[in-house]
Amino acid sequence: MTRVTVVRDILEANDRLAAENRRLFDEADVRVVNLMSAPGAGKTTLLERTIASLDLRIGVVEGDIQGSQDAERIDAAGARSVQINTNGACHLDANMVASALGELPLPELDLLVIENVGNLVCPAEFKVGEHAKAMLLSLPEGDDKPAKYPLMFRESRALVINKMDLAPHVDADPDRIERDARTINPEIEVFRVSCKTGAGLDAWLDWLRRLRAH
Amino acid sequence: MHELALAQNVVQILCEEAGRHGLDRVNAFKLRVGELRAVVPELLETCLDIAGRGTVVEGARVKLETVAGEARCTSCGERFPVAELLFLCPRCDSPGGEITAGQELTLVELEGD
Repeated sequence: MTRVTVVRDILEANDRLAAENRRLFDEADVRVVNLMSAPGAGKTTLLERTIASLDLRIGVVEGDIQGSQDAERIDAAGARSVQINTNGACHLDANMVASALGELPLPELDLLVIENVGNLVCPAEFKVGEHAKAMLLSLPEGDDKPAKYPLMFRESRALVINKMDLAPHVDADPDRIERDARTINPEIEVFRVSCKTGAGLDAWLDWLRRLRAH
Repeated sequence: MHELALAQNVVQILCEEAGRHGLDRVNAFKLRVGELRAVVPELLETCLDIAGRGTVVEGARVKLETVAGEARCTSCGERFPVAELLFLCPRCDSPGGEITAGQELTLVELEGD
């Protein structure tokens, strides 16, 4: 019998592939955002709004367990997209993203958004080579979400609170969401928006422009 | 449910280590798992069993060593235990302490023939 002592991070293979993706992004001079949320929070609608309003060349990697409805919406909005179907996996990993990159003209893009699989837990664990993680929480999901799913709030540089137009109709308190998110992550930038009315989106667009500029 | 993806990564690393050390099979291995990583131990064990089938890891015993969460306040330097990621410094009430333990996901040892 042989006993071997090792110290190897379980996610090292993913981290290595993520670093390789990152190198490709930097070579092509494209900034990459990993956009995460629960299903139905409004990621694709936020992207449609963003594509329509932002003066940057945008590409989108669409991650879904199955289906291509989101990629079709992105194409209709006028951005380049590629669909990844994870066939059951609840998050994108660096390898899945790497396999999709060949279908996008990276040097012709300013900004690439990787729309992760709808899930508040697992996507936060797996780097895909992004420059920044951003997350979306829709107000009706409830103001207890930072306390219940803290990892995504800790990992994200930006938090977009969507569906603010529903504030009069739901009990969730956006101040509590923001307070708890900042307790978990004091650096997080918070944007309160309504993708339905367009309210508050300018600050989000400015954040993307700043990310592009740095 | 990130346990299956984690288990697949563990099996891949174990197969690499087995090959490197000339082992035909892995009998046992030890993982260090931080309590802040939201890993469900029973679920991880089941997933390891599934992910290991048909490999040199099949049937190996797994030992999970859990590591309690600990943070250091970036304002006053206080070190304190944390059970979750939403916390304030117990001494000065500052948010955003640096996590110093509890986020481990590491393979630390294996045995084989």
